[in-house]
Amino acid sequence: MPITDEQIKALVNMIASVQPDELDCDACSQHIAEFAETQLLGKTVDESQQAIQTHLENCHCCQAEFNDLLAALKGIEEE
Amino acid sequence: MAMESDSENWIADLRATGEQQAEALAKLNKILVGGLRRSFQGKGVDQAFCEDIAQESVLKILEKLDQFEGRSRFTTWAMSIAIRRAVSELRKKRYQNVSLNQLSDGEQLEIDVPDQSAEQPEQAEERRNVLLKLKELIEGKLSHKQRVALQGGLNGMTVDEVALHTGSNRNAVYKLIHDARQKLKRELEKDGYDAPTIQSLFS
Ligand SMILES: [Zn+2]
Repeated sequence: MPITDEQIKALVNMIASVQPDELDCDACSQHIAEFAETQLLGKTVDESQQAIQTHLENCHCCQAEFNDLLAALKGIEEE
Repeated sequence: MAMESDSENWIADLRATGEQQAEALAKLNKILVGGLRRSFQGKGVDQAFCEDIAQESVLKILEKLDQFEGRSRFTTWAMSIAIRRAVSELRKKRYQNVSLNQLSDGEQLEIDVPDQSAEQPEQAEERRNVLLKLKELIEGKLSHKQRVALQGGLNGMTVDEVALHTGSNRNAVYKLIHDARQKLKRELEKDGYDAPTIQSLFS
């Protein structure tokens, strides 16, 4: 079955937005702890963390895992 | 990178033996269980699941102590390992009994190019050219696995779902899709269709 017009639009966006140096999921997960601290402390995302942010925006699975991590870390101090 | 003293203490305690290590293990276990509960409560997860995951994670963390580089606090790093484990276990459970109909084995990316009509505005003609090119590239330049993974993504499946369906893993699927996107982008650029151009044609 051919893809729909909406899917073509999505495909075009996927192609147009690709970056050669994108982080993959494994690399993202190696940096997810420090990125969570940046987020929780309300620090600004510096250049070295930009790639992590971009991966999270594009990868639903890593984003969901990141949200789970944030939820787990909130309240860790009280323990 | 300089490690926070709290993290240094954790590492020292976990590397120690006897009571010092046992205490640190118990403390870490408790922290992980608490975090897992906060994260997964109300998502069909019980206390036993959290305790199992925490226990397995503590062992994993002990194995991986050398890999801790101090870029975050130790407990944050440890929690990220536990969360990753929990997520992957939950995913397995969730899909164990579900058949994924969104992606049949033979299904691959297929593009329908509309017939050329006599009077078309210029943009429609250009769109048609890009679609023709895309169709040719997808059939000629992408691997079967890349086509299946891309199709899954376009069907709204996550990389984890495609991975489970194709017996692969998250990272491999992400790479398949990423490489396919890059290949298509490069090939379209060769024909003069750069990113802004194709985006404006299909916006
Ligand atoms: Zn990812």
